[in-house]
Amino acid sequence: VDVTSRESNGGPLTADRGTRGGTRNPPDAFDALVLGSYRSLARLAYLMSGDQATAEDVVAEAFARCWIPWQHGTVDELGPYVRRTVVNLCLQGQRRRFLERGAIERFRARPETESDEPGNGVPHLVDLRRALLALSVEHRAVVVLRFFADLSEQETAEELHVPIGTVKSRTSRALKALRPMIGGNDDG
Amino acid sequence: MAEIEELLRDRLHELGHAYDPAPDLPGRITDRIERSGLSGGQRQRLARRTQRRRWATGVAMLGVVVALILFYGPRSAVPPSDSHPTPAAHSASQSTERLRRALRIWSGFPMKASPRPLILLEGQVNAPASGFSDDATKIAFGDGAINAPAAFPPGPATAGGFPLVSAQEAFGLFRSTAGQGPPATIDLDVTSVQLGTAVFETDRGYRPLPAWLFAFGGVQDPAAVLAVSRAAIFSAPSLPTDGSLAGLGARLSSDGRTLTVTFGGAPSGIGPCDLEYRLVTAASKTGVALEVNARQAHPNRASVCALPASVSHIVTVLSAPLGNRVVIDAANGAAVPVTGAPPDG
Repeated sequence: VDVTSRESNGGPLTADRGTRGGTRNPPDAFDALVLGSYRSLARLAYLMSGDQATAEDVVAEAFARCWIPWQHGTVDELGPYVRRTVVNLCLQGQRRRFLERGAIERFRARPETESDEPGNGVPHLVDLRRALLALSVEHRAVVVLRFFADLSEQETAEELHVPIGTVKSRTSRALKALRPMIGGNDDG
Repeated sequence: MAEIEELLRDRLHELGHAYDPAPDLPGRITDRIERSGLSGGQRQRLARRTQRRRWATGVAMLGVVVALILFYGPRSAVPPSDSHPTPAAHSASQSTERLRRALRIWSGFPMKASPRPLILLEGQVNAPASGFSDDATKIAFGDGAINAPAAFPPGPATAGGFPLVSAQEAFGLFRSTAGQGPPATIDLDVTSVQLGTAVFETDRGYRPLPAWLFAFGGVQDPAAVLAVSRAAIFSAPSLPTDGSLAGLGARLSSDGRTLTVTFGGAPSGIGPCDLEYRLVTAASKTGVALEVNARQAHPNRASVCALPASVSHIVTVLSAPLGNRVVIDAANGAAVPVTGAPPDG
């Protein structure tokens, strides 16, 4: 599998679609999706959670949760399904037990990994990271889905199960908060 | 508003792509799926089995270490009774010689180089974390039976301050590090090559470093080859080990001077078998050499000792901050992994 050519930012992630009605889906398509999309999904989760290890845990957990429904053919489009799971897990955040479990596993697997935040040394990226983390997770989700995953307002509303008006108002408030960090004109 | 949206879009993509997820993530996903496919009872049984195996392995390894301590430690500290040198002086002079020897082999470490040269504790090639479709592909990888791709992608000359090797040079390492396993029956084909990062063990802990990631047909995970040029990697000549304590580790406190040295030792409070540990150190401009000496606390009472073991610590404060210096195990001259120390200075 050519990893790079399959990467996207969370749109439809595989050409292999499952079929409805309980038919088992081929594992190869799932593997291809994992290889083709884990980077973009981890980046999306990183922007939503602000933490690399959490992002990777979320992605691993999301694929694990999607595996059985995929195997049983109850998932129509796997890419968006996994992405939605990633978004939901990020929204549910630290309350989830899987994060605790993940933290223990990380501790065992790589006890001494050095901290190396992406974009360190690039001031505008450091500022943006901080500004993103200062937003509520709901506002951050809208920003990341709209401007990183490049979803429309309608798609973002469906992804987050909120009315489109909520997406618009959250986008507006988030942009207002982020504007000082990313420059641009104030005339809106 | 459109302008700010465009700017935000650009910056988010820039920030997102500054993060390169761990190349072993697909393997971890597979592991998570395999575990989540088990029933609750099966999962608990698996966890218990894994725990038992970890304990058994840990105790066995530490037992070996303590056996070495008991066998070599007291012997070097206490000479045979028919000789009459001062035991302490004799032991100290041996220790001093080992410490000096260890410092000597690292005397050429370029302290002022920036970034600090890498000291690798493992190899330059990380095999795919998992995902070999069958034994033949695994053997082919181990044997370096890999067909070069038609073309190698170009790459930058440097990354993170380190000079980089080309993808082609990195590919050459597969052959040079090929193991001595059974001969390959098939060849692997490289399906993609890209520059990314992978985690390598250095004397400053596990570090994400630039790596060429090679994907192969029939293998799920890519193999990572360290992309840093040999010019930025330092290695000292190895010394024959004298069989004393092995496997030292250390943690540097935030003051830059306090080292907590970790080693496998006997637990305290086991009566006649109690061991006393003493850390001896020597420092130079380029290194700090360590040796842990073990001595029986009650040499006249000990006869046959069981070999339980536990991880032990000794704290020492260096006379000057560690900085870029290498911490060295005097027993074998190897660099000791130090955590808590910045990669540079």
